[in-house]
Amino acid sequence: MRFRVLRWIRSDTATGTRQFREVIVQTRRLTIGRGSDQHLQIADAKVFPNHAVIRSGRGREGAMVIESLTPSGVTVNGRSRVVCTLNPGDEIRVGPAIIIVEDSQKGAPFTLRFRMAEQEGGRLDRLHVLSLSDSGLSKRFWSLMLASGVAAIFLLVPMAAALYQPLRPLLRASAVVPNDALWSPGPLHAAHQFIGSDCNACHTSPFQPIENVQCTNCHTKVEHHVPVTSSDIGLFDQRRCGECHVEHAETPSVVSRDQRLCSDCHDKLNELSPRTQLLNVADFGSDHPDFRVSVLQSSEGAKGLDWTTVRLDVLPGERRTETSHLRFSHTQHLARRGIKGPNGDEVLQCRNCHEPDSSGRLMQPVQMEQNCSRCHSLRFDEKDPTSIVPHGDIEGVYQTLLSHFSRQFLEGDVGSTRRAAISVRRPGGQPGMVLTRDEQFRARDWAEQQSLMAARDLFEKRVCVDCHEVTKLSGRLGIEQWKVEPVKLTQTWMPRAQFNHQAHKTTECLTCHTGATVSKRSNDVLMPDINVCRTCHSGAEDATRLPSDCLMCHQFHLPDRGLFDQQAASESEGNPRSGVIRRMRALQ
Amino acid sequence: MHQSFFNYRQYRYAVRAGALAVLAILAYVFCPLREPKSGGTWLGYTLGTIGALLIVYLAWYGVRRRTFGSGGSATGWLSAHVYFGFVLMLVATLHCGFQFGWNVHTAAYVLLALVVLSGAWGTYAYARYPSLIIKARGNIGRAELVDEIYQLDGRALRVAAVLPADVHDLLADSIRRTQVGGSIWAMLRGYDESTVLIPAGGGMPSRVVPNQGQKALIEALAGRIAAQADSNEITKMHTLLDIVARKASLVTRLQKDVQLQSLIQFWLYLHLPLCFALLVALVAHILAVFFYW
Repeated sequence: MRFRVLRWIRSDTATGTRQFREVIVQTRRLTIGRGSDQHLQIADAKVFPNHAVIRSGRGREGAMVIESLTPSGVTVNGRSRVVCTLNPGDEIRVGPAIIIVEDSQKGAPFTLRFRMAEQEGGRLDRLHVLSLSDSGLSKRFWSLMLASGVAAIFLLVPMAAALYQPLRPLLRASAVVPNDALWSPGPLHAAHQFIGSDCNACHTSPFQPIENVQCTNCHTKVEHHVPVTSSDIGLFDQRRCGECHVEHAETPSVVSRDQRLCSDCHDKLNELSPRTQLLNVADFGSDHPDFRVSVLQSSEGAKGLDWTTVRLDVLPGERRTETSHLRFSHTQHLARRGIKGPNGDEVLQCRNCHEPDSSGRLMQPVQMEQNCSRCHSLRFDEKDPTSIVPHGDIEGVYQTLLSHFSRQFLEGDVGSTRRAAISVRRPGGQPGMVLTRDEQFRARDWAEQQSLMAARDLFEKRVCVDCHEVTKLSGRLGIEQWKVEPVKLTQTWMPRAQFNHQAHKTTECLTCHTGATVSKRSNDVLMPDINVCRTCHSGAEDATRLPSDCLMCHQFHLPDRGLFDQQAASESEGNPRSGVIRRMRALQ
Repeated sequence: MHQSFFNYRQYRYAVRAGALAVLAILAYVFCPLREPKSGGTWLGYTLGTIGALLIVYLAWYGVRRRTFGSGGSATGWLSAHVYFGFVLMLVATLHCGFQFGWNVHTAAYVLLALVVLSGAWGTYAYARYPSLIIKARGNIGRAELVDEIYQLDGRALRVAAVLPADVHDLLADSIRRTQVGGSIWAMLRGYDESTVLIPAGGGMPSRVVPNQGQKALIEALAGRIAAQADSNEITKMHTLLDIVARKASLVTRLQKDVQLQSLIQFWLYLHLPLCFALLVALVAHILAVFFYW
C-alpha cells in the first residue's frame, strides 16, 4: 500500500505559512525509528533503531494500526499504547517526533503529517549517543547478571543437587542441566565410570575427605601389606586408601606409581622394623639389593626329606647353589653340535624342556614324563621295547623286573646255558604242565637274581643314575639296598616379584639366563642377577633406559596378610549403602 | 622522568611481582610432588591460596579507587594492580597444573583469564589512547566541539532559509541524518554512518546515500551552484558550502574523539562485570573443592 508523508520543513520567512515536503512511500509496513534504514527517521537517543511500524490492521484491529516494537510503546493521543487503531486526527508521539494522522480518501494514500517537537538544529549531544555510559551499557547491570549467572550455574544449582536428595535425579539426568558434576575436577578412572554422576556414591559427608569405608563398600577383600597380626601393622595406622589411589586426576590412573610412596618406609626399613628380613631399597636403578633368590633346600626329617624355602644371600665370589638332588648338565643338553636323541643327534633349545604356562608368565615345572622321557627311556632290556620300568617308584621298578623275568622263565625264552644250569623242563612245550614246588622255587630264584642284576644295571650304571643321586645302603638286601634321593625343583625363584616371561618373549632366554650354556651341574642357580635386569631397566627417574618403578615388579596388597582396614570392612558390612552400591552394580 | 604506574618507584611492583613469578615457577619445577601436578597437591593448595589472596587484593583496588587519600598513592596501587594481575595468571596456571575440563574450576580459570586480558587491554588503552585523544581534539574540548557543530548547523539553516526550499530541505535532512556515535559498535568502530536523502531528479528516484564527511551533501550543493543563475544566491550557496565543509571536519574530529573515548573506557565495561563473576566463581571453586573433598 501507499503512504503519503508530509514532512514539515520550515515556516516561510515572508508569509509564516508552514512548508511541507511530500514523500510517497510504497510499502506494507511504514517503519519509524532512529535507524537510517527507517522510513521515518527520528534522530534521538531515546528512540529505538526500529521503534514502531504503521500497517494495515489484522482481524478486529481496525483499518490501520500503529504497533510498537519496543516495550516502551508509543504515545497515541497522550496514552502509551503497544498496538493502537489509527483514526483521522490522532496524534502519535515517538520521542521528539509528532505524527498526525490526516483524513485520507478511500483509495488515496494513507496520509501522515510529520514534524519534530523541537525543530532541527538540536544539539548533537542531545540527539546522539556520544559516550558509552549513555549507550545503555551498564557495568552494574552486567556485573549483577554475570555474577548471578555464575552463582546459579556453578554454585547454587550444584549445591541443590548435593544437599537436596529429591532434586538429584532431576538435575543429574541430563548433561545440559548444571549439577554437581560441574564440581568434578577431572574424569573418573574407567573402572569407576559406572558410578556416573552420582557424586554421593563416594562423597557421603560434605567437607570430609573420603574415608576407607567408602572403598570397602565395594572392595571388600583388599589385603594388607604386612600380616595384620604382626607388630608392623602400627606403621600403617590411619592410612587412607586415597593416599595412593588418587581419583579425578586429569590422566585417569587409580594407582599412584610414585615410588616414594614405597621408599618412604623401605629405604629405612631396618629402623622402622628392626626384625625384618628385608633389605632397604630406594630405587631400582641406584639403590636396590641384589636378587636373593628363594630355593628349596632339603634336610633329613623324621619321614624322609623336609623341604624348606631358603633365600640365598649374594656374597661376592660365592657361587649360589640349590640342592634339588637332580643330576643335570645344561651345557651338555644345549651343546651346539647336538646331543643324542631317539632319532639321532639333535640340537636342543630351551623351549624343548621349559614350556610357559597358559598365561605365559611363568614356566611350567619340568617333569620327567613330559620333558625328559622322549630321550631318556626307562627300558631295561635293549631287545624288548616293552621292557620299561616305572618312574619314581623303586618298589614298582622291582615288581616290573620280577614279573618280566618270571614271564621270561615260564615262556622258556631263556638262554641255553642257564636252562641247563637249572635243568628245567620246557614248560611251553607241554601245556597244562604244572611246575613242581621245587621247580617253582628255582624259577623264582632265577627271576629274582635276574631282576637284581637288571636293577643294579639301572641304579648303578645306566638309566637312573644318569639323572639321580643313587646311594647304596650297606646291610640291606634286595631292592632295598639302593636309595634314590627325592628330587624337588624350585618353582618360584622370586616369589616377591612379578616377573612375566610373556612380556619379555622378544628377548632370547640366554640373554638373561646367561649361565645356561656353561652350567655343568644342576645345583647352579641360573637366575639372572639384578645387573642383567638393569641393562634394560633403570630407576624410576632415569629415562636413559626403561624407567621402572616399584610397582612394575612388586605389589602393595599381598596375599594372605589379612584385610587392609578391618574396621572399615566391618562398617561396610553393617552399612546399608554398601548394599545399594552392590545392587546398582548388579543392575548395570 | 615522568612517574607513571608503569615505572612507579623504579619499577618497585614490577620487581616484586617478577620475584613472585620466579618463586612460583621454581616451586612448580622443583617441588618433589608424588602425584601428577594439579590443584589437589600441597603445591596446588599453596599456589591456590596465594592466587586467591591475590584476587582479593587486586579486587580491593576497585574499592581503593573510590576512597580517596587512604593507604598509599593511587599510582602505586595501580602499578601493583597491573603487575600482580599479570603474575596472577601465571600463579593460577601453575596452581591447576595445566589441567582443564568442563567444570567450575576451569570456568573460574577462564573468567580469570578474561579479567586479566581485559585488564591488559586497559593497560594498553591507557598507554596509547590519551595522546591520540589530545591529538584528535586539537585544543578543543568535547563540549566546545559539540557546541561549535551545533552553532554551524544553526548558521547553515539560517543561510538556507532564504535559499530555495529544496536546498533547505537537503540541508535539514543532512543535519537530521548526520550520525555521530550511536550504538556501542558504531562508537568503537568510529565509522561515519551519516546519510542524506537526495531528492528525485535527473531521471533518478529519491534515495538515501551515505554522507561520509558530508561529501554527498557537498557534491549535491556544488551541483546546485552549477545550475544556479542568481549571483546573490551563488554567493550564499558558497557561504553554505564553507559552513558545511567546516562542519565536516569538526564532525570527523568528534567522531574520532568519540571512538577513542569509548575505546579507552570499553575495557572496563568488560573488566568489572567479569571481575564480579570471577569473585563468585572463586567462591564456588573453593567451596566445590572442599565440599566434595
